[in-house]
Amino acid sequence: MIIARNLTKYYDNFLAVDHINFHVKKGEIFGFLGPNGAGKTTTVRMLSCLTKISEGEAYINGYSVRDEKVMVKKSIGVVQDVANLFGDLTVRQNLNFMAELYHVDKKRVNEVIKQFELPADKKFSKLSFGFKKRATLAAAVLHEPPVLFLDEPTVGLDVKSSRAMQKLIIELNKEGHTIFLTTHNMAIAEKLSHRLVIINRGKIVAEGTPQELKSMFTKVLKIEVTVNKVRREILEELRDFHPRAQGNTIIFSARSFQDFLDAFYPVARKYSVVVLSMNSSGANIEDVFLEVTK
Amino acid sequence: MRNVYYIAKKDFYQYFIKPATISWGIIFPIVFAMAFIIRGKGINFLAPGLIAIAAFFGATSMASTSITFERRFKEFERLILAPLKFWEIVLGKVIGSFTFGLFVSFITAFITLPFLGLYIRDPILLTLAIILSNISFSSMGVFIALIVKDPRNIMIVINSIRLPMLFLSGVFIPLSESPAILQLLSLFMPLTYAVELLRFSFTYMTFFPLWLSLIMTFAWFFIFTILSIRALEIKY
Ligand SMILES: Nc1ncnc2c1ncn2[C@@H]1O[C@H](COP(=O)(O)OP(=O)(O)OP(=O)(O)O)[C@@H](O)[C@H]1O
Ligand SMILES: [Mg+2]
Repeated sequence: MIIARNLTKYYDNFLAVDHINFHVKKGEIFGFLGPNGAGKTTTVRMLSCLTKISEGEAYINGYSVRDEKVMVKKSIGVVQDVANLFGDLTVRQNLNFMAELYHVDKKRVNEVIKQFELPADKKFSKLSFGFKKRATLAAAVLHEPPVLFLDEPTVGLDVKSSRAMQKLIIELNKEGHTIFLTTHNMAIAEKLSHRLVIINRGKIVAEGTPQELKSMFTKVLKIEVTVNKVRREILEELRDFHPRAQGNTIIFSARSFQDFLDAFYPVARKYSVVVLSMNSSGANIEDVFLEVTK
Repeated sequence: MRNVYYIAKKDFYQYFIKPATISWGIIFPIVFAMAFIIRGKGINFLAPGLIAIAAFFGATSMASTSITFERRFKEFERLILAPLKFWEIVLGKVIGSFTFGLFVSFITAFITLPFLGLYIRDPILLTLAIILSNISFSSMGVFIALIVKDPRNIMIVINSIRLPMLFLSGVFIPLSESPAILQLLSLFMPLTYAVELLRFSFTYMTFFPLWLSLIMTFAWFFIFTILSIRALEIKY
């Protein structure tokens, strides 16, 4: 759905995005994770025709970003890092204007106002930050584009609005939008994306599923499980994970948390052992992030 | 063409009552008009200039305000993101400010002409002249607003272009009485041809021939529009 080949951006002599390659598949939420100044916004701007590509190529929905701009623009909806609908217009006027520019039936405006629970007759500039983001997202999906670019959609939102936004993103993905999501928030990248890349100083430094990324960088995970009773059979069946019992707590070592869980639960069920608590220490996506961006 | 209309309609609605459009686009030309009326002398000569100024300030103010506001708040990028051709964006902006300039110049004409008791020789040409000048001025405003580096400086930039033009385009001093160097300079000012056109419709007497002014007014519109489209192509 989105292909980038040696995509590069120079601002004068400053290299902001450095020959990056990636391929976003149809129906995916693709995370683009990186620290401040990594080149995330620049990449989104290149892909959405807001700034010229310096070197390399990009294709969206089969159209060349360099040469078929209007077709590319029809295929994408963009929520930029700033909420930039027209401040003097109400939410409805904004959406009506967008509906005109995208040749969308005005009925669709009412639909998204309902779907996003927007205050239709408030001026955009008078909305709270959270609603500005929602309204901008609503404008981006008005023409039901196959591809959505979301540049830091949850930044600056409180916990509740951030959750609501994440829920919307998942819903939109289920409705069939392929989503390119930039963020510097690891938890969100991990939770939302099917696959992700980590970008640092304009270069892609890691890529894979959140799971792969974590296991790639996991040294050894320590997992503490407290159970109602320790059974010898469990220790035996799970000896690959080097169990040590301390009272009602068993300490395992594993390279991947997921592998451990997959092995542990059937065994626990088999011997009717109840898990009271489980803690793991070791690599999480934050460790991966710090590791590859240092 | 539909897209052009949508953009123009939105701009007219949105910027009609902005302080910057009102002060530079309406109040400034009217104050100028008052000064003219009070002065009262050589009114036959000055009246066309008055309408030209109204068109000049009206159209350029609207164009520069609407574009620089939108550039500052990145609203302009919504237009770039939409599946529009660059010429549609440029023409939409030009026609939005053209409508405003037209409004200001006709108001100015209707308010002041009865005071001046002027005899209009050629009302049709007058109307055409007002329309053509507004078209060329709005495209000039659009171009300047698109290329100014920092949109916050637009008023300084545009006034440092508008005000000198005001004094070099034969509004106050007849071109025939200007030194040759100023006559030469005035050839490069869109305002010159607008004033000439308007003057012709009042008196049939002008410095340049009518056909030249007609062609040049249209040519300026064409040049500024092409340059604006080019500016967008270079940037995006
Ligand atoms: N218009 C510009 N002109 C010059 N340099 C720029 C411009 N825009 C961005 N940069 C530089 O390019 C680099 C990448 O910026 P970019 O905005 O893409 O980063 P980002 O990953 O989006 O960061 P953030 O998390 O802060 O949004 C930064 O060093 C930035 O200073
Ligand atoms: Mg950014």
